[in-house]
Amino acid sequence: MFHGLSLEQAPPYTVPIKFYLSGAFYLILLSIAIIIYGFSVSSRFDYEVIALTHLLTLGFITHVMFGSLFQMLPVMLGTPYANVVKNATIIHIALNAGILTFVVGFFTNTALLLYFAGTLLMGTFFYFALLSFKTILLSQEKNTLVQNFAASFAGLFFAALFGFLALLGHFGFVDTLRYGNIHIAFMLFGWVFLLIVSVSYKIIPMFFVAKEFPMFVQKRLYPVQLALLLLFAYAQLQEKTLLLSVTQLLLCTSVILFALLSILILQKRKRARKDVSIELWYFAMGNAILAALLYAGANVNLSFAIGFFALFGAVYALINAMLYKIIPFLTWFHLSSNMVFDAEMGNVIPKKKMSIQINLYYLSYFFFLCTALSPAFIIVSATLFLFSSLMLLLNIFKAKKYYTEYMKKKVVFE
Amino acid sequence: MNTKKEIILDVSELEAPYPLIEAINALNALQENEVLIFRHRMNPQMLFQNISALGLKYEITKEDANEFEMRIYK
Repeated sequence: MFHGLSLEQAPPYTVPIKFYLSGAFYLILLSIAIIIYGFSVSSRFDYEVIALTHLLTLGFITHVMFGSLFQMLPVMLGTPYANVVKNATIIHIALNAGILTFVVGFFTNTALLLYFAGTLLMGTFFYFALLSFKTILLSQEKNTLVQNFAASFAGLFFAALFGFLALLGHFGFVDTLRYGNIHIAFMLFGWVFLLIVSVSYKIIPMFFVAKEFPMFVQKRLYPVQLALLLLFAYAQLQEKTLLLSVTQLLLCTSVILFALLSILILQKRKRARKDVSIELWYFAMGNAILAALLYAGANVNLSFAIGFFALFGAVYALINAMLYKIIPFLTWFHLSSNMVFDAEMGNVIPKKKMSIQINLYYLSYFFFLCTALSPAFIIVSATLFLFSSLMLLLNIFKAKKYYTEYMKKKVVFE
Repeated sequence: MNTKKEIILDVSELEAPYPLIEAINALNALQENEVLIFRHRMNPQMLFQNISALGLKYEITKEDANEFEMRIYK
């Protein structure tokens, strides 16, 4: 008979779920914004493109990552975040205020809103990064996994700093292009990549009964990646073209090697069962390789295609796959720690609903590719993604409802 | 400790959350004269709080890539 978990470090269930629901909400906004503005964009420097990109990166990706870290980091470290409910609420409010003013600021080209948004977002990211660093410092646990997480926070710190500087450039204070490129590199190859890597080290063996990533990779990849990013920033700022190309190539090599290694580990897993998350994981890794190859081969700045494959094809898909493993586990985990023992992880979100949502995403992706033939496909694609995002939101709500209903069955001991 | 009866629990081929469920069940059933030999493919980070909450002791006997073993006793 199962007698429950003892998980004093974990935050309340509502903390991560609130971030996940907000993330899915921004995907809906993104789909609607693409329907409205999708036809009028032509370059990555268009303000509409910057707004749309950040609806995905800040709205969805950051929300999910912050929510997951509030849950995962304390459990791994054995040390809780200080005042987790209060701090999570402050960060959630500040992040949302920042994202909304940032996006509206770019759509309407309003300098005041952009200054406000930039300051608020930078403050929020710094606050979250410092709060996380403090939690790590207070913990006795300083294993390789924790070091990987700390490296991703360093990536976040620099990405936020250069993002703010790039924003100042939109008003002529600094060279936006250079700072913008450094911001993108730290955000994608630092914060997002290293966080995905860290979470994969944990999730792949845990949920897919697969082997762990080699310790050599776990110990060496993150310092190499951080060193390369610093070199990249130096080369950008000092206009060292050759060094820039070399670091760009090496950063992409890390991504490709990691993607290939994770595919290999997943293919060799002990219980090779059909699973929507696995298929989505392969799809994401394929897109990551494609984006990295394009970026490594291109002697120009990031283009639409690279951004599409990297953000929509790889990062979005991978996070979607992770959510369908993390949310059911999280729901079961919190119910069990509340002495509710008849909850089943497999029933938290019905598999059929996950599958429909993911298939809608695949269709949306396909029609996005078709925009190369005719821009009209953008409407079909965005509409499909709107339905996919609505389903994702409903699926997360379903998990929350499952939790609420089972909590009513909680056994109260006198 | 050497005279205690050994109970082997190998969860290395189970996916989450079953290793945790099996382990906690075994911890709760553990008797004074028994030692639980717990085997998994990875370090079971979430289990340690349960071990300490139940006032049990543990000793990690193997922690390599894809192989983890510990002895848990009262």
